[in-house]
This record gives sequence, structure tokens and C-alpha cells, in this order.
Amino acid sequence: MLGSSAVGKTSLVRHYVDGIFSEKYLTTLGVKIDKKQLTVKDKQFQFLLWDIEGTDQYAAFQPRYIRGASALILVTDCTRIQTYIDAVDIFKQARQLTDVPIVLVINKTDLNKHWQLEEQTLLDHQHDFIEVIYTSAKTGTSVEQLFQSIGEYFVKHL
Amino acid sequence: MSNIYNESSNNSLEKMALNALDCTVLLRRQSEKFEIIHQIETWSNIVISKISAHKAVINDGCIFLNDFLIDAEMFWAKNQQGVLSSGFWTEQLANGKLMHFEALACVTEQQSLLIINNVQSVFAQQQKTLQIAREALISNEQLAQQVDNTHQYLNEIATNTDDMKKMLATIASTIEHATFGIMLLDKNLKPILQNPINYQLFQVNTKDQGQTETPLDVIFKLMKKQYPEHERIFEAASAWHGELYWLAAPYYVKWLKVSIYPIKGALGDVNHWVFYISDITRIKHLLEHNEQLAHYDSLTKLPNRQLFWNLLEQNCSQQPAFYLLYLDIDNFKFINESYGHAEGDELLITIAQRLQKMLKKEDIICRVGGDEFVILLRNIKEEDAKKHCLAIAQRILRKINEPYEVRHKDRIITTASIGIVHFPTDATDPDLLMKYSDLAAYNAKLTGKSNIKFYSQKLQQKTAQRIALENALREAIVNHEFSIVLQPMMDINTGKIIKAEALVRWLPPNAENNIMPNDFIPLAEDTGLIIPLGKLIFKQVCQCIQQLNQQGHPLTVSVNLSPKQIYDNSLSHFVYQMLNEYNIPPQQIEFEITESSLANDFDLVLATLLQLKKGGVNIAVDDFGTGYSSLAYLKRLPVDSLKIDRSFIKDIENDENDKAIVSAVIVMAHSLKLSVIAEGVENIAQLDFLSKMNCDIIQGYFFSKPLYLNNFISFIKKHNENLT
Ligand SMILES: Nc1nc2c(ncn2[C@@H]2O[C@H](COP(=O)(O)OP(=O)(O)O)[C@@H](O)[C@H]2O)c(=O)[nH]1
Ligand SMILES: [Mg+2]
Repeated sequence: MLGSSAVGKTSLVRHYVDGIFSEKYLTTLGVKIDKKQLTVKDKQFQFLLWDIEGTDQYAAFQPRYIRGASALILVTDCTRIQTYIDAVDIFKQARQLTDVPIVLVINKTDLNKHWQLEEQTLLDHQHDFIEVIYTSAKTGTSVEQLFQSIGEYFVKHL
Repeated sequence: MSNIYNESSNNSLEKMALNALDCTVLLRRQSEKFEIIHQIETWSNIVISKISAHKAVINDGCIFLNDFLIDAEMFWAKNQQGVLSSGFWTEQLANGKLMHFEALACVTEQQSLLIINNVQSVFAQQQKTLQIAREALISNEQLAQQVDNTHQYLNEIATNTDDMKKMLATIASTIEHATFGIMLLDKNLKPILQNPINYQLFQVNTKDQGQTETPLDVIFKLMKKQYPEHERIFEAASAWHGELYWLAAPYYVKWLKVSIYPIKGALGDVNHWVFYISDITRIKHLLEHNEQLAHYDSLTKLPNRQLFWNLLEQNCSQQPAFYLLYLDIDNFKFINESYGHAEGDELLITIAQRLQKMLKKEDIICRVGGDEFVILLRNIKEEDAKKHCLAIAQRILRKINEPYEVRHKDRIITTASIGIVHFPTDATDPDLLMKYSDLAAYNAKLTGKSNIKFYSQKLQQKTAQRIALENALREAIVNHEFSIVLQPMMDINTGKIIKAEALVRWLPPNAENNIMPNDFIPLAEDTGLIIPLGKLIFKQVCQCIQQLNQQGHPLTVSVNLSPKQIYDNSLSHFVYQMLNEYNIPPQQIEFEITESSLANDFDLVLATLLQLKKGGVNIAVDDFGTGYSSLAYLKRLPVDSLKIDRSFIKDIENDENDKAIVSAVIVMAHSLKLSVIAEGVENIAQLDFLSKMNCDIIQGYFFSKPLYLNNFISFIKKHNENLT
């Protein structure tokens, strides 16, 4: 899970793994790994979800953390356009290191203060990702689907 | 020391120390197999599995640590003294409890160790600090975004609504419910509109009923005190952002974040100002919990503006003289936009490091703005102090000019401008020192990138003059105070006048003499006024051509294009619209672009030229020989002719070098099928030589100076009569 701080990386994992959500923000330091089993079309997957400290001026992007990754989930917050700008940046850095599939997540869709991404900008980047998914860790919208879609990608491509 | 980790070591002091540190220590025996030197029974089973009394492997379930082993193995293999950290990670226990660890791979005395620390308390402490910092960061960001959105919206309304009443009504209803203060001012800084929250922000409940200070008074007072160097924003019509500390006696302490933007008309003239004011006291308060965060810039770790201000005041109250250097990165905005913010940040960090390395420890360096640094040079030897200071400033600029490697291994080049003031000679008070140093830096920037300027009173006068000239120029554009003169160009072989260069003259209403282009075009270029001015000139040129055509002289007229005009993407559209309006065939226009404008961004220039060229106009390269455009460049550009710079023609009868260059350029141009124009031809000897070298066209005083249209037409008539 990559992205700026407070976009909801930890919340997405918590919702997916434990089915819980908390309004209270507790910033992540370093890494926490969660496990989750998933079955797609009779295929068993064991997901190891690396929830990583958000990158910002207090914490730099750590290439080491994505070394062994099979897929990357790049999370943005739909109320803060800056998180999308950061994501494009993180994307560029990650792509230098790996060609694993990347999913772009636009989180917090339950809040209605959306940034106005010009259609074209998103389209320009669309092909960079195997999927662009709008989620809410609060209501759970599309959280399951997010991880499911990664499983489906592997079923199709491996 | 050598065997403290040995199995045999039973030193109880060491054991106690290790226990106190709450760490498990493993000695690597072979790949991924360890000997237990020390362990903390309560938690070591979370990270390691024992395979015998003293042997262990890393616990399978501890995924992070297993991953770190890959790096650790590589590190141990190098067998060089040192430590590699894994960074923090978190394990969740079966009971839901969280534990935080950090692993260190070490090599000491030829031994490979893996130390696993339980970092519970450090983690909690850092998390608290970072939590505050991040919350503040996000609040700040959200605030900036809201202000930004609102400003975009207001700017659109203000520039696109012609009806003033309607505009004010729309703006008033828009800002009514904003969550921060907004003020709309006229161009003389008189408030027109303010929203309710703006009054609340500045409401002070003191017993002193005679409170007469308006919000605007307060802001100006604080700005003057806290950002004296930025007073010129209103003259220079630039945007400004800053944080003001407001001590409203006796109970109120507020931090205000203020953004000021001019709203400009089509000519870049200011019609309105908008102020956005937010109360960031809470954010500031959060940050102040942490001394380090409050006084040091989190990015570069240099003292921030607040601490700098304290330091400057301290230094001003003591006697020793010092120089204050105000350093401003020249193209930081461009770098941020074209390479990305992360790269911009990285650049700032590197710049800060380079600066720090060059200074002595008694010097002070701070980051006082986005891309602005201030340096106090103290303890400079009194003798030749200014010379020493200049030498240091030059060294700083050289260091900054060195290429930067940012993360994608791109090499970025940047430059900076430095303004310098001296305490106590130039000023003794912190406000003035800052104001003057900014003025000097501003002037350094105007003289071109990578410059140094010392403050002087003359400099201040010059700045005032420049601003006056800029205002006059803006009015001149509105009032159409320009006229066109034409300088004929003659075909050497036939003697016919086949072209003319259009040049501009500015005649202010009460002035006796024309102002020559050299005295205002560079200013127009710097301020962006060249765009409306260029359009006005082009329109007047079209009118001239129309008259020439009507009188039976369908000549080609060449018009100069400055770099900013080339980058203006409405250029081509405007040109063809004018040609259409005045019914002029595109072949009758030739654009002259200077060689130096090619150097900036070749691909962009190429795209613009191709677009222009598609419609049928001609293109010439002006001042050829003075820049560094290579043949390779020329081949790729859609160019029709070359103008050899006058500096090569001046001594051409005598100077062997010039002769050689000019004849080589002519041969080369002809091989590329370009026609060659020599400008600045003043005598027959020059003409003879150029004619011998097969130059195609000449232009210069020998033949005719630039003429107003009527004189120009008479000149052609006479010239043609003489020819036949
Ligand atoms: N309304 C809403 N809030 C969310 C959502 N996801 C996360 N949050 C909140 O955003 C804050 C940061 O979430 P967190 O998961 O810690 O972000 P991380 O730093 O990316 O891990 C917390 O206060 C969460 O409650 C969401 O989908 N909707
Ligand atoms: Mg987190």
C-alpha cells in the first residue's frame, strides 16, 4: 500500500482484514504486514499486505519495501488533490524499480468534496494502472473488489 | 571488546546493559542460522525460533524480518564495519496487542550480528510527534487548496464579467459562506467587499472601545513589521503568501495565514486585489509542541523564518558588522512544475547542504521562504570586507550552478541570484536590512540569471524608475503611442528593393524624442507586456503593408518576434486572423527570430515555427553568429533566410576573421538553400565585399535608415526611377 499520509491505506487494510473502521487517525510508522486468504476461480491466494508509512516531507519513499511485491496499491484521497500529485510521483519512482501490476485507488468517496481531476489527466494515466478503483474504507464501498481485482488479474495473467 | 558477544562471555554488567536496552542479539554462524548471544524471554519468540538451546532461525511468520535478511546477508557479505537498519516494523500478537521493533545488521570485529530492538517507547514518542506534524501538514494543505479553488473561481468571475455591479454581486454571494476571511480591494487597495468571517477574525474583545483598526490596517501593520522585504509586491503587482503573528493586546495571540493576489486585466494591469486570511493559530500551536519542528524547516533542517528573525534581531543589537545575503533560486517554480515536487524538494535539500558546507560555523544560514535563503556572514575581515564578501557570494553561485542529480538520475541545472546588504552601513534595523537585500536580489535577477548585487541608494532609485517606466509602457499600449518605421532591404544583384524590416518607435505624448526599442523592448519582454505590445505592432505593420499594396509596392515586410512571443500559443492564430482582416498574402510577412531564442527550448520553438510556417509566412534567423545555434539546428528548422549580425559587417573590410566567418556563413547558408541578408551595411567597401561573396540582400545606413511609411514610399519611388 503506497501513497501520501492519511489517504486511508491503513483503514483500507483494516476494513478488508478485520472489517472495522475508525475515524481516529493514527499515523503509521514503518511497516505493518497483514495476511489474508483469497480465492478467485478455485485459485487460492495468500495476500501479504504491506501497509507502509505514508510518504511526505517527514518520510521518504523506500524502494526496499516494494522489492518483493507482486502488486502495488497506490492510494489517493479524493478530497486532497495533492495526494494525486504525490501518487503520480510515487508511481514514477516505483516504475523505475518494478513492472508489477499497479492499482490506483481513489479513497474516501463517502465524502463529497471531490477534487476535480480533469478527465483527460486521469485518462492519460489510465493505461499505467491495471485498474482505477473508487473506494471508501468507511462504508466499505469497493474495498473487497479492490483486492478481488488483483486476484483476478493474477488468475488471468499467470 | 573483541569477545563480548562470545558464548563464554558471562559479564553480568553487559547482560544488564543488554536487558536494559530490551534487545535480542544474534551472531550469524551461516546463512540464516544464528547463535543466540542474548535474548529477551518475554518477546524473542515473536521474531526467532529456537532450534537448540543456543541456536535459532528467524521465525517464519515474521515476514518483515525475513525480508530484511536479504539486505542483511548482502551487507554482512561485504564484511565492512557498520550498521544497517531495517526501520521500524509492527507485529500484531494473537491477543491483538501491537509490538514495535527495529532490526540492525552490524559488522564489528569481523563478526556479523543481528540485533533486534524492542522500540516500544521510541516508537510511541515519534508517533506522537509525527502525528502532530502530519495533522498540521494536512490542515495546511486543505487550507491552501480551499484558498486556491476560491481564488481561481473569483479570478474567473472578476476577469470575465464586464458589468461591475453584477461582478460584485456574484463575488459577494460566493464569499459569504467561505470558512476563511476574504477581502476584495480596488487597485488603490481600498476595500470593496469583505465577508463576515473576515470581521470575526479581527474582532478583539478588549475594554478599549475605541478600536479603530480595520482588518486591512492590521494586515499592513504586521506585514510591514514582519515581511518588510515584501512591501514592493503592490508596486510590482505580484502574488504573496505569508504567515503573520498578531499580538492583539493584551489577550490575543493569533497566527494568520495570508495570501494576496492581484487580479489583472488583459494588459497585465491590476484591476483588483484579493486577500485571503485564515486563522492558523491551532496548527501553529500544534507544531510548537515540538521545538525542533517550530524553529527548523522540516525539509532542509535549516533554521526557519521565525528563528532567523530572532537571530537577525540579536545580531543587529550587537556591534560586530555583518553582511546579509539574500539568495533566491532563479527558476525553482519551473523545476517544480516540470520535474515534480519531490524533485524540487530534493533540490532544495541539496542546495541547503551545499550552502552549509561552504560556510563557517559562525555564519548563519536560514530558509526564509519557498526558494529563498538568507545567509549572515559574520567575522569578515574588516580590510577589503566587501571584496571578501563578493568572493564568497561568487563561490556560492558557482556551487549552486553545479549540476544536481535527482532521483531519476536526471541532471538538473539551476542558478540563483544574490542581493547583499551591510550592517551597519546600509541599515541598522532588521526590517530595512531585509527590505534592501530583497531589493538588491530583485535587481540581480533583472540583470539576468546568476547575478550578485550589493544594495545602494542608486539601486533603489533605479528600481523606482523601472517601475515608472513599466507603468508608462502599459499606458502607452492602451493609448497606442507607437509607430512603425521601415528600413528597406535591397537585392544585391538586381538593385531592387524587395523587402523591408519593420521597427517600432515609441513617442510618449509630452516627449520630444522617440524612445528607441532597446530602451523598452527588454522591459516589455521581462514583464510580459511584449505580448499585447507585439500584437499591437503586428497590427500596425499589417496596416502599413495594406497601404504599400494599395500603392503598388507589394513588398515582404519582416517583423521581429521575441522569445516570449514565440512561447505564446495564441500567436499563430492572431497572425493569420490579422492577415485575413487586412487581406495580406502570408508570403508578404517574414518573422525574424533571434538566434538566442532557439537555445531555450528547441522543440517548443520548432513546434511554433512549423505551425506559423504551415500558413505560408517566411522565417528568418536574426543576429546570426552571435549565439550558438549550430548547423544541425538550422537544418531542422523551417527557415528561409539568415541575417548576419551587424557586428561581423562593421570591420569586414579589414578584419580577416570577420571576412572568413561571413564568407563561410554565406556558403553554408546557400548549401541549405537559405538566402543571406547582411545588416548594418554602411559603406561601399562593405557592399563590394559582400557582393563578391555572393551575399543576397543588404540592409543598412549606406542605403537607407528606417523611414516612416510616407517617406518610405517616396524613397521606393525615387529608387525605382533611378533604376530604370
Ligand atoms: N470519511 C472517510 N475517512 C477515511 C476513509 N479512509 C480513511 N479515512 C480517515 O482518514 C484518516 C487517515 O486514515 P489512515 O488509514 O490512517 O491513512 P494512512 O496514513 O494512509 O494509513 C483517518 O482519520 C481515517 O479515519 C474513507 O474512506 N472515508
Ligand atoms: Mg497508515
